[in-house]
Parts: sequence; C-alpha cells; structure tokens
Amino acid sequence: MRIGGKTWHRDLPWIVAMVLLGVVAAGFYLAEYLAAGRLPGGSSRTGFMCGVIAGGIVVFELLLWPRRRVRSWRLGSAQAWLRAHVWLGLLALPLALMHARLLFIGGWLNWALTALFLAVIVSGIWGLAVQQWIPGWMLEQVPAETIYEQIDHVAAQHCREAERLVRGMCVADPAEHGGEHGGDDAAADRGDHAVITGLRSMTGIQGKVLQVVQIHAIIPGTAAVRRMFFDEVKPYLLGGRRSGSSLASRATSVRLFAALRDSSPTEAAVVIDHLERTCDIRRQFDLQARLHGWLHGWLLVHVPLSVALGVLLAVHVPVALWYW
Amino acid sequence: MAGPDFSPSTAPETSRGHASRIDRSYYTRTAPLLRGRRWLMFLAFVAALGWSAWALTDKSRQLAPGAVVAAHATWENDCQACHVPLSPIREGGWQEQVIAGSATHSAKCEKCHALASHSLRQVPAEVGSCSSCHDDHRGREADIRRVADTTCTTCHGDISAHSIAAAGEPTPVLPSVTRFDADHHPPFQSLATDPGRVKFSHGRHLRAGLTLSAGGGADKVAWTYDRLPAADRARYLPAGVSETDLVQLDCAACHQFAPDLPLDVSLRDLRPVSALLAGRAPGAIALPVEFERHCSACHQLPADASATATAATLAAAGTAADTSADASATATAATLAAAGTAAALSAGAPSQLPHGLDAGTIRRYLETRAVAALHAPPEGAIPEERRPLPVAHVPEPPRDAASLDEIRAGVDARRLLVRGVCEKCHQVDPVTLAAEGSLVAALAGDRAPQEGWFGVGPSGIKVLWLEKARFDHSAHRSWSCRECHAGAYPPALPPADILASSPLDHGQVLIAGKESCLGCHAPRQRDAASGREFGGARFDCVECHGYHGHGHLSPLPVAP
Repeated sequence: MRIGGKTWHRDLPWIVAMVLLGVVAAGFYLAEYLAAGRLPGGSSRTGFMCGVIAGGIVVFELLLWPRRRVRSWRLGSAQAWLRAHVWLGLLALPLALMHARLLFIGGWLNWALTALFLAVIVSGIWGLAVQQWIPGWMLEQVPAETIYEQIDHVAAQHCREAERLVRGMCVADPAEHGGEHGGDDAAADRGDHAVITGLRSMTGIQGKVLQVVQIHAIIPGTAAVRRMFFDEVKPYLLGGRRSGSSLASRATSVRLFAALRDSSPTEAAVVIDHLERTCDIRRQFDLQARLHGWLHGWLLVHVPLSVALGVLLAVHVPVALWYW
Repeated sequence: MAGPDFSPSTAPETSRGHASRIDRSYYTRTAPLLRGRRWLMFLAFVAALGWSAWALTDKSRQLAPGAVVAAHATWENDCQACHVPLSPIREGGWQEQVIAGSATHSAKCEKCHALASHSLRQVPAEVGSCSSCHDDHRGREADIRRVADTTCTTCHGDISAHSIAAAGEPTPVLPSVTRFDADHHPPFQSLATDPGRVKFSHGRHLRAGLTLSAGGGADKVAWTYDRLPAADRARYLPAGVSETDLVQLDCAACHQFAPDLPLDVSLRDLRPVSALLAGRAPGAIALPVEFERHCSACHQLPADASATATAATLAAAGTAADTSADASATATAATLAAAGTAAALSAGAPSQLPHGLDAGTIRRYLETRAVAALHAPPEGAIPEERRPLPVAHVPEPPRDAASLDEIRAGVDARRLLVRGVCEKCHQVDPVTLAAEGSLVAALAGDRAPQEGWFGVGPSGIKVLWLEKARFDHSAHRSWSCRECHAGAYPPALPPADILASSPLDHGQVLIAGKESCLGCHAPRQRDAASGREFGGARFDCVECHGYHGHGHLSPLPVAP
C-alpha cells in the first residue's frame, strides 16, 4: 500500500486517530506509573485495557487473511482493509508495549509472544516501506515488466522468436552436425516473416510491442552470430540470471555484442540488435524477479509469524485470566 | 542482394499465434513464494502449538513472569497454592469491580502469614490484599517486603482522609508523609520527650575518672580501676592500661548489643529482651541497661549502717563511693551519723540491698534486717548472700516493747538510709503501705496504714526509642556514636561551668532527629557550597518502617 500522494487524504485521518489514541493511552499509562511508583503491568488498569485493545487489533489484523479468501463478500474495499491493517497494526505496537510493562516482563511464553509481535510489526513496517519505493522504481527500471509468474514463459517465447530469426537469417556453422545448433532450419524457414518482441518509447512511456520481421535470405558471414546465439544468448534467455551467463551483466553484454557487431557484416546488425534487446529484456525480467522478491519476500516472515502470534495469543489470554 | 525488411509490418499474425504468447494456465500453478509462505505458515502454526503445549506443562518458567521468592520456592509449580483461578490476586479496585477474589487470595497467604493489622485507625474498606503491596515472581532473591513508597503514601500522603477515629477518640489529626526528606516527613515523634526517671549524667560517666573535673579535684575523688570490685575490674579494664589509671568508660560499657554480651550471660538473663531481639538482626538494638550488670561495680546499695560506715570510712580515706552528686544521700548519711544509730545498726552483717524491690518488699526486708540485728546469726544459718530470696530466713523476733521500739528505730534508720540511696538515682514517690505484710505491725498488733514509705516507679528508660520505625545499630557500626548521640558526650565547658549547671541529662533526648539521617538517606546529591557529595543510602518508607504489627495501641515495652 502506497502512503501519500493522491491517497494522502485517506491516510491522514488514520494517522491522526492513531497518534491521538497512542498519546491518550500513554498519558493514562504515565499517570498510573506516577501514582503507583512502578511500571504498570498487564494486570494494571491501563495495562489491561492496552492489552485488550492490542489483542483485538491483532485479531482484526489476522482477519485480513480470511478476508482475502472471500473477496466477493461486501465487507469493505480491499484498500480500506489494508489501510486499517497498516494503521491499526502500528497503533498496536505502543499498546502492546505498555501492556508488556515496556518489555520488563518475564515468562518464556510472554517473551515468545512479545518477540513474535515485534517481529511481525517490524516485518510489516519493512513491507510497508518497500512498497513505497519498489513499485515506482520497477516502473522506471523494468519497462518490459510482465506477470511475475509468466517470466519464464515469456522469456522462452522470446527465445523461440530469436531462434527463428537466427535460423532464418544466419549462416549455419559448418562445424555443426545436428544437435541444438543444427536443428530444423527448414522448419524455421517455412515462413517469410518472424514475430519478435521489441520495446518502444512513446511520449516518455516505454512498453513492449510486437514486430514482424520479413525474412528474405541467409546473410553470409553470420556464422558467429548464430554460434553466439546458441552458446550464449539462448541459455541466458531460458535460464536468466541463474544460468550464470555473462550476459546477465549489462556491461559485458554491451561489450560482447559490440565485438560481434564488428566482426559481422553490416546486414547482420539488425539481428544482432534484436538479440541484444532480447537479452536486455531478459535482464529486466531478472531485475523484476529480484524486486518481486523484495516486494513480497517479507511476507515469508510476516504471515507465518502472524499465524504463530495468533496461536500464542490464544493461549496467553486464557492463561493470563486464569492466573490473574 | 536484397536485405531483410525489419520495419514493423502488417503481415498477418494468427490468433493462435497471439494466444500462444500467453500462458493462460499460470494462475493454476502456485508461485514458489506463495508455496514457501504456506509451508512456513504451517510450520509456524505447528511450532506455536508445540510451544503452547510446552508452556502448559512448564508453568513456572513459561507462564510466571519470574521465579517466586526463595521462601515460596516450594510452590513454584503449584500456581493454585496462591492463585485462585479466574480471580485477580491483587486488590486494585478496578479488578475487584469485575471479579472479587483478593480476599480469597489473602486467606491463602494468611495460612502461613498471620500478621497483625496495620492500625486500628485505618479504613477497613481501604485495606488491600497481601498482593496489593507484595509483588512476587520477581526472582528468588527479591525482597517482596520492600514495597514501593506509593503503597504507603496512597494513604499517608493524606492520612487524615484515610483514617478513622478509634472508639471514644476524636478524629485523629496526623501529619501526612509523602517521602523522607526535610519537608515531607514529620520529625520523629518518639524523640519528642524523654520519659526517663533515672537521674543520670552521660557526660560525667564518659569523663576519665567519672568526675566533672579532670583528675578529681574539688569535685570528686576520681575513680581508678583498682577501686572496682575484682569481679568487675577485668570487664572494665582495657588491655594495656594500668589498674591505677582513671576509669574511662565508653558507650559500650553500658550499651551492649547481643553479639557483645559476655559468654557468661545466661538465657534467663536474655529472656526479658528476647521478644525485642526476635526478628531483628544481631546487634540491631542495644540491650536494656541493668543495674546489676552495668551500675553495681561502682554504685553499691548499702542496706544498713555497717555498709554505710564502710562507705564513710572509704570516703574519709578519699576513696568513697560516688554518692555526693545527690544531696539527699549526703543528708541521709549525716542524719544517721547525728542520730548515733550507726553503731546500733552495725550489729548485723553488712548487706547490699537487692535492686528492683517494691515498697512492700523493701519494708519487709528492712524489718527483717532490724530484727536480725538483735540476734546473733543462728548456727548453721545460710549466709545471706547465698539465700535465694532476701527474706528467706527470718529469726524469731522478740515481742517485748523495748525490743519493738528498737526494731522500729532500726527500721526507720534503715529506711532513711535506703531512701537516700535510692534517691541518688531514682525519683522516689511517697507510699502509704497497709499493715498487712509488715513484720513489725504483726508483732505489735498494729493495723493502721504505715506512712513514710516510698517507692521507686518504673525507670521510664526506653528500650526502643523509635517506636514506629526500625533502626539497626549494627548496620551503622562504622559510624561513631557521637554522630547521632552528640549530646551524650561531656560538654566542652570549664569544670566550674559544668558544675554550675546541672550535669544530669535524663530529661534530654540524646538521639539526633531525622536531620542526622538525611545526610545519608537521601538521593545522591552534591552540596553546592562545599562541593561534597552526600546521600545515596536508601530512603524509601520500608527502609525504616514496617506495615504489620503497628495495629496495637498498647505502648511498646519499656525497661522496668
């Protein structure tokens, strides 16, 4: 959830309410501390109320998960739920701390509960923070962005397009004897055109476009291009950064393709340019995957720990009341 | 050769071709991140359940906020030894409004801790449960008796609003206390007056030779160690000091603490103070000063003229017992001498009057002495000093009128003598005794009450001066006695000036007030003028005060 910008007017009431409630609770806590001469614990008047409210907030926060399972129910917009999730979760932090005697507590269960709560809050704040800048950064740095789950599929598609282009326009390597490099050029050349993916920039906005390239004839002297495709480009397009290819580095890629361009006929430049662009898109997919990990990886901590927090909270409440 | 046309083309692209560019089934597959998240959720759920199960089987470490104090360690894992399920253990007002339970909890505490109430003046509805003040689960070594000041100042901060009048008493007007300092704590009320009735001069007793002028001189003959009875000499004579040196007493000569007692002190001697010593640290309080232990080495109690004559002889030799500080004693000796009764009274064996007798016993004792003076000691009689009681042996008295007159004269003379001896240190009160119990009255058949007798009331010397507080002398042993008892030391005045004023100090409280405490028992701070740092010792309420046991209204015990 992005805070500020056009939605600032929606966040502001939450922020004001959260700060006011936090200050009021802290005021009550301070007053009770001054009256008692010791930090009020969970069974004090203020500490107990803070605990009840914080516990209720935790339960509400946990409801976000089932809420997403029943999107069709009219229970408020997902944005409203997420906004409440974020701001109430932040409010729960001071309340829980006051309930926990500002962490001057004992008992392993209490410590585990507190540690889980803090970890959940910290991971949530981290998640909120990365959501503030990663999406914008991704919009700028990954114009070729695709659906994360389709990255491999799209990359394979690009690889097939490039291979069709290479087979149709580049000279076969005499040293080739079938295998991957040989392939079925005849099948590849059945058509007289190839559909390839390109990038276009229009009025400052970049985006992918599909291009159709006419294939007329084999360009002599392009065996090196074909060899580089099968040796370097294709493994990288299919495996991405995980393939260990040197093309994962933009600088290396520029250098390799420049050398290839120098050693190839001028007519092959268009093929080489396309291969370089395809590798560039693949690098963007790599970056997108990495940013996607940052953008959603915190959930690997936040959600499971929230589940554990819910379980321990369900134990803590009756036990605390039983031995009040 | 025609080059390829790489410009965008309108060449036909089939729908199937377009469709193949999209993996339409991607949403049916779970992304690795989501798959991992679900696994972790499952693991977290299982781990949390496992931890919860562990918590319920290891309550002391998992559920309790801390270990209970060592005295309660037996019930470490038995929560319900103290707790009542679903009821608050701490009386805190608001919990009680939800669920009542603190009374039940206190009942569990009181199974072992039957303590007196705090005060008869406290408002019953404001009396909290045990746990409202005493927090357990703060570790084995925690002192749960050391409660926060606010547990006291909740009421004592405005004590008038939190106290009720006892039956028949007006509403008490009590000073409020919010903390221990110069402004928020009243002066020690126990030190307002000294109820002591024993005439005494600390200053004289702390001077060398026990005189007001160095080396004796016109004041008195100075005491030297060789004048003390042999049995007491070793006790008073410091190592390396000659027996002919002047006696120099110090505070410990009379004010003894339990660890300082000589080994020959019997349990019987300790019994009267055992109640005071109970529950206190060794050496916390000074034991009561006793005549036999602390005074008798110098102060003898002659019961008849033979002892007086001995004293007079000694006085003539310049070594008399110190009896002249009180004029009545001198007058008594002079009266006896003028009456010429000394020779008559000297027939009996020299005797020391036991200390601490009441008026009736004194009369009986003196009558017995007078009767005994008419008789030679019977054959086989038990020496007086070995008799268990002073009146154990009474010889058959003569009943003729002359003998009765002689007995009466002997009693009267002894009464004057003994009264003078008593008045040296005590304030004596005239007493009229009934005829019953009088040996002479029985012989003469007289049933009229006898006037002219006297009694010595209680000494009034406090054993515990700070009645509502606790002071531990042993904890302050590194300080000089003078720090808190400066008034007990001889004044730095010329002897003439000292003699001009009364040296007696039994009407003065020789214990410094709270100002002497505040030098240490205050927050650590620096004196702006001198730059000296002071304070730092604890100054919370329970450092000096206890809550339980002050509910009684009877006075604290005093020495007889």
